[in-house]
Amino acid sequence: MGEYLRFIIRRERRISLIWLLSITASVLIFTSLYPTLVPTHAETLALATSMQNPAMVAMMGPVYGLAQITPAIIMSQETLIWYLIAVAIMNIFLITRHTRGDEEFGRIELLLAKPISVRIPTLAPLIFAIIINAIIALASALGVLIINIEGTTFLGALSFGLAIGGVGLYFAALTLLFAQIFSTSSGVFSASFITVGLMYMIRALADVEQSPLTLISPFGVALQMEVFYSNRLTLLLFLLLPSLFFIDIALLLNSIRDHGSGLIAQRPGKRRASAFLRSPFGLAWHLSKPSTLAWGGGIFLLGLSYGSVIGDLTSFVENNELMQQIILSSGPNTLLDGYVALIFSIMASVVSVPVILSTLRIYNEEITARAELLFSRPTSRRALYTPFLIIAFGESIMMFILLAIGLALGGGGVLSLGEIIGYGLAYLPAVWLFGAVGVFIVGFIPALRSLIWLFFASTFIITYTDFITPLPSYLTKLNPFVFIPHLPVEEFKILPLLILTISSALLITGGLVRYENRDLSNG
Amino acid sequence: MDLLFDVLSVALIRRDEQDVSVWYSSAMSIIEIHNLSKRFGKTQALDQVNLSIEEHSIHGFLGPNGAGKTTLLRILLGIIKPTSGNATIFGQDVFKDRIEVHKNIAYVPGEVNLWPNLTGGEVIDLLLGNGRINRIEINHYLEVFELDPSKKGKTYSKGNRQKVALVAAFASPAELFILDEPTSGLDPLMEQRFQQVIKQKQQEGKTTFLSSHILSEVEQLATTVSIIREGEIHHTLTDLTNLNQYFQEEG
Repeated sequence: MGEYLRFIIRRERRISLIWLLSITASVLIFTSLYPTLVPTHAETLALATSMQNPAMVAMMGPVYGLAQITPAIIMSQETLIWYLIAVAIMNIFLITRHTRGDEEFGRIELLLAKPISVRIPTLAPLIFAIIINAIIALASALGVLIINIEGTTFLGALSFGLAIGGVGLYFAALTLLFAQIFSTSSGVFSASFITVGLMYMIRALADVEQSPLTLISPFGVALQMEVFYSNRLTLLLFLLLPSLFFIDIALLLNSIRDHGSGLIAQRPGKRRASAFLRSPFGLAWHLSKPSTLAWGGGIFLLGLSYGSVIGDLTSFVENNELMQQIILSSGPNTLLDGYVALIFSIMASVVSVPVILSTLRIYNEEITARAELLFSRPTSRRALYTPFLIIAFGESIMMFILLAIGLALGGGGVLSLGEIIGYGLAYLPAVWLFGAVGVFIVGFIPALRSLIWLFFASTFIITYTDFITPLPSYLTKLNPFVFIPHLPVEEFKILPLLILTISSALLITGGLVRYENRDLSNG
Repeated sequence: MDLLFDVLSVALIRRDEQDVSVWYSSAMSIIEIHNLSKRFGKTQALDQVNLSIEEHSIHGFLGPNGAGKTTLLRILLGIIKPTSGNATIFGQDVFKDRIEVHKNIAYVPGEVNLWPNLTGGEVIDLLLGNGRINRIEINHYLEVFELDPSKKGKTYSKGNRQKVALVAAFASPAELFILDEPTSGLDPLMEQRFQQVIKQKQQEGKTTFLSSHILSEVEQLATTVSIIREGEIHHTLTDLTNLNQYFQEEG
């Protein structure tokens, strides 16, 4: 056992260390931001009050301790849920990797050939998970103690760490159970991640309704501990008992099932391609779908949360000088207009990411040694590439629409959907320019494709530095977004949009022509 | 070395002299390669390659790793452009007219990579493309190679991934099969079935261009052989009785 555990530690020394360091670093960084975010009691209270609207509660959990609010309470209320999700994901990957994953690769078979108990390949990863979760709990608790923002207590830090470690253990145990039930690692992943989503949703709904049913969800349990306020450590039992139950059932199932099989047999896939998959869009959509859906969902949720702030906008901005400066920098406008214009100018950059990803996607096919199979078919490269570009084009529009719907829903009827969709679509030419640069790169310098992210990041940095200290205009002009009229606080101008669109068309045409004629990369 | 070349040349010339009439009347070449060179930066991957492959033949293409086999195949598939010289398939330029050329060729790479979330059956249909899917042919070759098409790409072994590409190739209406070490992942039984299919395709009048490093396979299958070394075609043999001797003396 000890030997196998050491072997797991050896295999995990990189990836688990990265998780541990990332979570600890996030705790250190985000906690240390709070004294500047909420320097006075009034601001702390204002922020906490604004977090009380249903959309925010659904996203991050209930607000507690308003009467004795401290930066530590608001920090935990706003950030804890994200660490919980991170640690859940870490444990799902960790356990799947060492149980069903290894079984799939036939590694466990190799191990079982040795004179060891059949339980060891199941128990050892669990023990490792317990150790790593304990270390993460300890590191997070120490992290908040070290930063020591106002309101930090020893008991609070302990609850903070144990909440994270407890949720980690819960998902390690649950994944261990799923690893006995499903016969493929993708099946285990799906079941585990669906459970994460489901548990998050149960908590969100229950928290909005202020229902005790939130304790069904491990996330709800952790948030109900009211870290840095009532620090209800006994609630940890709601994490530990289910974990023990999952582990018990997992070991029982493990002892009765055959090696290599699960309780649920693998479903055979399709023997033939559907008509859609055979169409020119089939492969492009198959490859783009996961990214498109994830980005679409994420942008919609961001819109929803930005929208939900609208009701408390006045109190939120009144207490924040930097926000006032940014929102009202464009001249005398209503606060709402300024806010909406700001959201769209930020989100236009975010929308560019999935669009860029879609324009670069075909290059993956070139470098994964599928190129010969794909490119020896009687189809031109342009015909193969075009569906990816149409998907990118569709994404650029859909993302703004999803953002606008999210904003309008979150705002609760303050915004007119048709109008704000229009504000978003005005940014399209700049988003297309990023996509067009992607096509140009695929055509001319695919090996240097990371340059586009450098370009993207620099425009992002330039824009936000410019808010704080004005930069020389030759620098700001590098950013295609500065040419876009920021609706509704600026007037609509068609000329810059036309120039951006024509530039994009030229870059895309050049990229496509070159792509048809260049050597494909060596796999 | 020199002696060997003399022996081989004499063997070739003698054959040319013997049935010169048959040679020129029946032979229509499907692949024509003229003075083909390819440079990657400072590396000369192919140097003045000349090769002509006849219709209905099974042409073995032998050479050690790094000799330029794959580079030549990639040029024939229109994936990379030659630096100089030209290559034609069915009389059409392999790069400029590649879409026309591809209508009548099928390719199987040495290392088959599949899309992890598509099943073997889906990939076969995708590779064949609309209008070229013939269920009878597909099912026939699925049986020949004993392949389960309902599994996802990521769960196939190397041999099974290769079978997916082989089924897609053989079920296609191609006139020319270009195969890059196609049996490297197959077990002996499947290798034998593969050889039977190739021979049958030849009887149907199809041509196969097969790269390999397995001498015995080429010996059993090929009607002509060329040998590539350091980017140059060393020899094209039509009389395979000398093949073993050639390799023995080359060491």
